[in-house]
Amino acid sequence: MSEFVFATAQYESGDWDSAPLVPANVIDSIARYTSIDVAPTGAIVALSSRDVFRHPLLYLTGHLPVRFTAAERTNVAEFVRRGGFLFVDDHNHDIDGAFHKTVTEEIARTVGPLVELPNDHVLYRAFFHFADGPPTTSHELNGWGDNLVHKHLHGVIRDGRIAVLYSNKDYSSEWGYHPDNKRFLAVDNTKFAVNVVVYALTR
Amino acid sequence: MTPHQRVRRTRAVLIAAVVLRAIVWAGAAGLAVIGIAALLDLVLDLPRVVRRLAVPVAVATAAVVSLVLLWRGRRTRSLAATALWIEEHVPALQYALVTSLEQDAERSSPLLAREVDRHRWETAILPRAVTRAAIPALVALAVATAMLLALPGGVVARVRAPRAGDALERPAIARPPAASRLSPLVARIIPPPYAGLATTSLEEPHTIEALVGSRIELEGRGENDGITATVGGVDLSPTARGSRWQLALTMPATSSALRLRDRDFDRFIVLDARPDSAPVVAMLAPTRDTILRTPAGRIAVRGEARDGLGLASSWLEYIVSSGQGESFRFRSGVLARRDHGGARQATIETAVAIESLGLMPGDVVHMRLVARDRNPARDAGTGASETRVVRIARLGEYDSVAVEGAPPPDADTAAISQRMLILLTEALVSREPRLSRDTLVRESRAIGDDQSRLRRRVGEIIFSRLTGEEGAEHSHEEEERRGAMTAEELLKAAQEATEHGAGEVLDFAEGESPVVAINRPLLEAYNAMWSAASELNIGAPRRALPHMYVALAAIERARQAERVYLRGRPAAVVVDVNRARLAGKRDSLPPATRAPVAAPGRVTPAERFARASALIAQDRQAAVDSLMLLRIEVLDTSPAGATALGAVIASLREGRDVTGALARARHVLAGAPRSDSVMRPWGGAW
Amino acid sequence: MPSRGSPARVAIERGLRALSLLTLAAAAWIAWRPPAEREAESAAPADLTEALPRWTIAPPRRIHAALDAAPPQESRDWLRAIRRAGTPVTWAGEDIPALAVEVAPIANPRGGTMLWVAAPSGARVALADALASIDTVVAAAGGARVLAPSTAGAVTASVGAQMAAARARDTLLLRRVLVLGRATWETKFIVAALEEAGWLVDARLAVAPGVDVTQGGVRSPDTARHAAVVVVDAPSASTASAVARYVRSGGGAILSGASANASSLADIAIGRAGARVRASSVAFADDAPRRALGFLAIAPLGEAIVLEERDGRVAAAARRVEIGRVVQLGYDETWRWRLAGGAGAVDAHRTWWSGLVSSVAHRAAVPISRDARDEDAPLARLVDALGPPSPASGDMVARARWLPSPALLFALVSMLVLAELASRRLRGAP
Repeated sequence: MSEFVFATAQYESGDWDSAPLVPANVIDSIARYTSIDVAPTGAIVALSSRDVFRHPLLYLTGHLPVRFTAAERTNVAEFVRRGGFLFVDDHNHDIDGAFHKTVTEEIARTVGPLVELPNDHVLYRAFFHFADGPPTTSHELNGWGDNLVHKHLHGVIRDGRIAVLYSNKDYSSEWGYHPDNKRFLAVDNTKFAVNVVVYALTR
Repeated sequence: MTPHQRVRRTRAVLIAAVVLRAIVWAGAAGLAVIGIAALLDLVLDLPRVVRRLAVPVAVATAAVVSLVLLWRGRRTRSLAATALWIEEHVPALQYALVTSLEQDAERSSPLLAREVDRHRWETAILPRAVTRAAIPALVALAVATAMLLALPGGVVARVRAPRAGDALERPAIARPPAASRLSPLVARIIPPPYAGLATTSLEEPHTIEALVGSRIELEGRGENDGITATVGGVDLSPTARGSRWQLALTMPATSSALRLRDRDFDRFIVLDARPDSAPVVAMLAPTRDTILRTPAGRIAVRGEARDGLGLASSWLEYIVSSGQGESFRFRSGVLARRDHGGARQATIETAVAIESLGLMPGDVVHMRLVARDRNPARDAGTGASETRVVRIARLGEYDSVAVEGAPPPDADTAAISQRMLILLTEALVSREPRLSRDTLVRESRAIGDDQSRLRRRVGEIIFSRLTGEEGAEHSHEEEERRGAMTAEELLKAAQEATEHGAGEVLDFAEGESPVVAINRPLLEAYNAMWSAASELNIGAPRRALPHMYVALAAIERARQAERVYLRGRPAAVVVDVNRARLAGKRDSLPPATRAPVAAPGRVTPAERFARASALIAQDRQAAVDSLMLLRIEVLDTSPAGATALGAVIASLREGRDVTGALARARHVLAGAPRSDSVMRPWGGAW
Repeated sequence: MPSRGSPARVAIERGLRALSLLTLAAAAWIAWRPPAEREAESAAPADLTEALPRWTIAPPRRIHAALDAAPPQESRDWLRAIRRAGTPVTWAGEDIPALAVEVAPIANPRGGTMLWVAAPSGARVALADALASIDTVVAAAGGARVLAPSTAGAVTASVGAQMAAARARDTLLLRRVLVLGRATWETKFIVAALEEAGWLVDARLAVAPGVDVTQGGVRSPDTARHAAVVVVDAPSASTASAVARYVRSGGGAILSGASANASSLADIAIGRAGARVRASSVAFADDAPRRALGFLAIAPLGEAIVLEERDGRVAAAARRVEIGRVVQLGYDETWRWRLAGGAGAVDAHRTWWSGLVSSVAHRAAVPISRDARDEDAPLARLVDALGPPSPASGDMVARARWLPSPALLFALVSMLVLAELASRRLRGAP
């Protein structure tokens, strides 16, 4: 039985690798809280390659503009059609940022329109319970980026399930530290990542 | 006037009469043909293809009639024949006229001439002859004209100039009041203005294919009271227009069914929406992403745009991203906007002056060509090319800019240089016994100088990361002071030099800041290099080597901790899954239950097709309606299925054998049967 | 004054009159011929319809039907009635193909019908239903089967002139499918495929010790609720015991991957899932997509039916356990087929999994009225009605004779009389 591999999407146009420590941190959390078989390292998958279809969950982040190539666009559309789950996080935590503007445009063009997820969505109860919706990040609280605390995540819904999860909250920064340092945190701020993975694996 | 002259004049009058008669009869015949066709159309509702023949047949008939009459009157061209005709009608001439004509005009007998002169046939018989020839023809013409005038309005027009949509021009004969007002039905399709397409009309439409946003006008006979229309769950109300009802709607964005109802009469029309496709834009140059050494020069941009309905404009769109790490700024704009005035295809050529974009080292420019068609809808009609990325190299990347598109990280170059210095030092140590002290010190100091330069470069990397400043100048004293610091001291100094303020701002309360985590190995390397350079400068390469090894190891660790550059690969962090397994604590609330993904029990197209097919034997029209609705639903998901269903519907409507079409449609919608030519002991998917 | 006419003409007229009288006499003889005088008769298939009323009115001593196709039910029953009335009836039909068709609904939420056709090896069987042609198959080893996604009315199977027809005897009550396993891509996409195929799915997916994501709130399978259970990972002992009990009660189970190695499932498992066999193809070919999947080789025991094997290693096998059914799969990463396969991989993966569940599903059949006119096995029914075929005796075959019909005789008499009358009138005779 194959284990779960946390895969980061590599796209042509931007700094797809802006959060290199996130995969390890998410993997650590999956192991820490669940019995899901998880690979000890993440994978990097070029969106333009067929490798996309080896990983039903893809994590995509960055600061720079996201403009998919034709091959990337085709693969993303097919990936979602086949039941894949794309988690996109804006590393700029800025709704006026180029990443936000371009990636939302690409998602709408490639997969479908993003809709606001209600804060009682099953995603927030898929493993841990987040009564108020998506957990707030320290970058939001510090007033970085657009100086907003984003109340909702967004998603593209296919057949009643989230096919693309889009976050403005900059979890890429929030989870971008070595997992060994988790021991210093009073409250583990990566728990929501477990919800994302469990949701993708069970819905 | 001689007899010759008189006969010639008579002949001219007779010829004119013959021609006039031919023309009038021809006109009467032509009009009669049209009138008869109109009458037939009134009674039988002739198809348009037949009505199109009416005018050519009328013209041909007129031509034939006129030719026949002219042929029959051909003898009037002969003087002798004319003279005989006169003799026939004036017997008193006693052939004097004919005899006179047989003689030359100059030598004719005066006796004959006098005899001829005694008879004035011009007034006696000619008017009567002309009248007798003309009056029947004129009467026929009048009758034909009267018939045409007596026909109901629009009937003659349907024959004279048949066109799609003239079904309503034909008045109904003895139309029972209980008849459906949904037939005849005429649809007029008015494409949106931006499309520049002509208006078309359809009679008795089953399917209306039109561009999304087209105005569709349906018109039928009778009052609008009691007629309802529904499309996509929205009720529409027809309006009255004279003695007709009219319904106007806009072609929706997706294919749907329009249902018209008049009392117990139902009528379905498929609205087959044709979306306006966005322009196709291709960037032909630059052909790939580019890294520029300096923010100067011009980049030629060339592309093509195509659109089926015509391009409105095109432009070059750019986004400039400046910054690094966690701090980015963005600027965007457009260049080279051009109007294309509806051209179907356009070549876009422009050049981007790099200086005009105000770029700095490290900036990234995303460029793409965008074209719009004339569709005014905000979210429609815009197509974009692939994006090209132009990056301005940072100062430290010059060595690699020319050879690779994605240069290695700064720490990589430092590692390479440190490795070379170690090799040089190890070689010097191995030669040490054979070298004089001066030579040893000279060569050792040379390596030490390189080590110092490399140390400064590492310092610049650390400083630029913390401050965002590239290549800042620092005094030698400052470097010396920095070099003597511990890593923590240098870091603290560096942090103080930034606007972020004290360490606690950068540090997370729970642990180490990512900034610290990334730069600590480089700071260690920096210090080790300082120690190594000191040893080398005093001619002690053997003692320098341990520091150099420490520096190299630190740089390697920095590379591991570092995010690599755009399109490179970050080093994988291996998590000790077994150690972490279930170490965390979970709250006691159970996870949310799962809800079914798909809607089970949803009736599939195949099942609906089976149900509709079963109706064929009982109620053909109901089967057609069901199949039409099914066809609308599968238009997007199964174009092949929609085509096959269209064939079934057409066969049913035309009363043809539907077996083959049904087999094909079932094959497409339900899938091909899977046959196995052997009996297997286990059923199912095998 | 009457014409005398030539002697030859007069002779012909007399001949015509004599012929007409003879014909009338023959008709009278045929009409009044005593039935008891009839001897054994034989009829070809084409004459059977005409012969049956005659045999009923005037039974011969014996009847023999030489058939090239099984007669329709009406003729068959008629022959049987004649035989029961005392006239020995035999038949022969070496060329009648042994054709039979059976129609059974598939335990699948999207419907579908399994058509089982028995026909001589090599026979080309054309299948059709009330709507249109379905398929044509060549029977091998005595038969063929066709899975038709949709059928309407009676299904007919034809081999040459012989046709068999049948329709479904019953319909099925479909129950839910229970999927048990850990939260993996395999379980996720199995559940997705089954739901997309229309199955109602209960699921219990373990994400942490004592923490399951559930659907349907059911912990163990039950024949009253579930048509089948899919076990993706080794279940707990209590769950495995419940699955085993369920199967013995008539339920269906699919044991995927290493789940069969659970000790509590050993009784119902087909064999131990052993060493992993690597994929034999890099890409998912449309015609053999599972070659690109690795699997755990199954070592089947006893009466297992091997369903799929590669290079001598069993990838899938099935068996009956008491009144239940079990399919064991070596495949444990079929989700890769769905994600990385060709353009139709999603459909193919869905259809495959749905078909697997169908093949083991607990069938709760509901009888529906059956049309008595169905001719599902014409030859068998003929044998049932008239006994086995037997060759005709020599005299019967030789005595096969033809008797003119009354209409023919009447037409002949009329022609003869008219000819004589015309000849006489033309020569002026009265």
